Amino acid sequence: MDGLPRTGPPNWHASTAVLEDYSRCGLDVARAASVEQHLLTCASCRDQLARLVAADGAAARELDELWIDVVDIIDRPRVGVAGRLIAGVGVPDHITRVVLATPALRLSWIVSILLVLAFAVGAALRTGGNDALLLAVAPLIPLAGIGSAYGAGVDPMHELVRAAPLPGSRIFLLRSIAVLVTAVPLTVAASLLVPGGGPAAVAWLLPSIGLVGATLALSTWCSPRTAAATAASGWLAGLAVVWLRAAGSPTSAILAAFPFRPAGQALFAALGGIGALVFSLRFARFDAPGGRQVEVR
Amino acid sequence: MIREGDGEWTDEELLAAVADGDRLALRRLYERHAPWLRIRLQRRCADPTIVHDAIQDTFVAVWRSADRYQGSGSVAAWIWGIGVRRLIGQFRRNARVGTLPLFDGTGVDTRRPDDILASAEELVLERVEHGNLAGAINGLSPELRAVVQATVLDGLTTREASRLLGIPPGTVKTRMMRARRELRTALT
Repeated sequence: MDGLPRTGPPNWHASTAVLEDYSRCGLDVARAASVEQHLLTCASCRDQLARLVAADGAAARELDELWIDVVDIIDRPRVGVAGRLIAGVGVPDHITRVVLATPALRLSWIVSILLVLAFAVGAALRTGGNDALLLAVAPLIPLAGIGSAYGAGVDPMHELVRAAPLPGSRIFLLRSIAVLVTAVPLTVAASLLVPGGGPAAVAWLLPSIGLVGATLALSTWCSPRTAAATAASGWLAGLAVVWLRAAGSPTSAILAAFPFRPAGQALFAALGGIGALVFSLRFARFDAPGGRQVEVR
Repeated sequence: MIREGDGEWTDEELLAAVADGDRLALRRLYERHAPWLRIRLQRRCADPTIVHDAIQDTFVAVWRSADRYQGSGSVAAWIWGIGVRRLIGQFRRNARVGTLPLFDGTGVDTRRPDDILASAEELVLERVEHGNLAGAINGLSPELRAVVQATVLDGLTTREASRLLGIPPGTVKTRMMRARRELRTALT
């Protein structure tokens, strides 16, 4: 094996001629294998080979371009599982980033949603399937997320978000959808954990849609946070009245309250539609200079 | 931080700096290792685009998983282990392209193909002192040589070798057995 390395520590070095042959895809298989084995352990021969490659203009240029491609990739922000999921549905990259930055999509938010739900479900299980608390609380979960989806004081990244080349109303809407897509299935799943609930277990769904619609509509007058707080207060105030005026057990009064009866369900569904309509007609107000989103806190 | 003009950093030190997010250290590693990696991959794949993408993937992987280098074996061998698997990954993505059946070194990866291949490797290493090894390997038919190269010398598993060479895993095994028989005959 004239002039070629065996195993062991390299006192031996490949000759320039051998390396040149090797780099041009010359050498028979056994010799090439020998060189490759040696290169793995010998920095000096690797450097020698690198110098040969650098002397070859085309190869050196190609390696320089390749480096730029490498840097380009490592400079890109990494996209997590959620990002890949959203992108997989065909959402453009820039929208994905805006949506992923929604405060209500952070892990801490999702954990708090789960805790609230666990509490409500626990109460229902303890009272043998009485899900009054769950019905009362469930519609508020998406509201909390939407109320914090856009605006100074609720989104720590709001300054950055405002600088985004997208209208605020669009960002708000996209994030509201993202909140609904996350919170509603979680809440439905929690409702189905309550035994014997049946379809009544998801009776909060239409009231929730109604409250979301109201929040959207109100957000064209005030900040999303105030809008969500207003809608939530209205909901809680109504239930409080039912609770206080109940003739018998307050929880059964809530279960039979207006929002959970067919007429109430229809009314809240309509409220959702009207709210969305108002938002679509007035969303320009949301973005208007001097409008509420510029308010300084 | 690695600074411009700093003299002799070892590969291990550079890799530790890369794990801390040092871009210049990655650049140094690239300057040292991209040239030989490119040639070695070129000898296994005739398509320059695929080689380009495999090298790119390799150094992105080095950047992202530098902290996973165990310190067993040289950094060069670690990079080669990533590189050859990225090349195979590219094959999977790009349907089939022609490969050049050529040769490679040992000790790349802790993964062992299987018993047949391990004993074939022992055979090769035992006989490495004998001058007729090169002749025996070169004398194998190209199909058998490619399998010896991929499994014994590139350290690939049977499945990986089958992807690299574009033949079923069963064929890799039978060819490896034939190669082993032929080598044994040639060397004894």
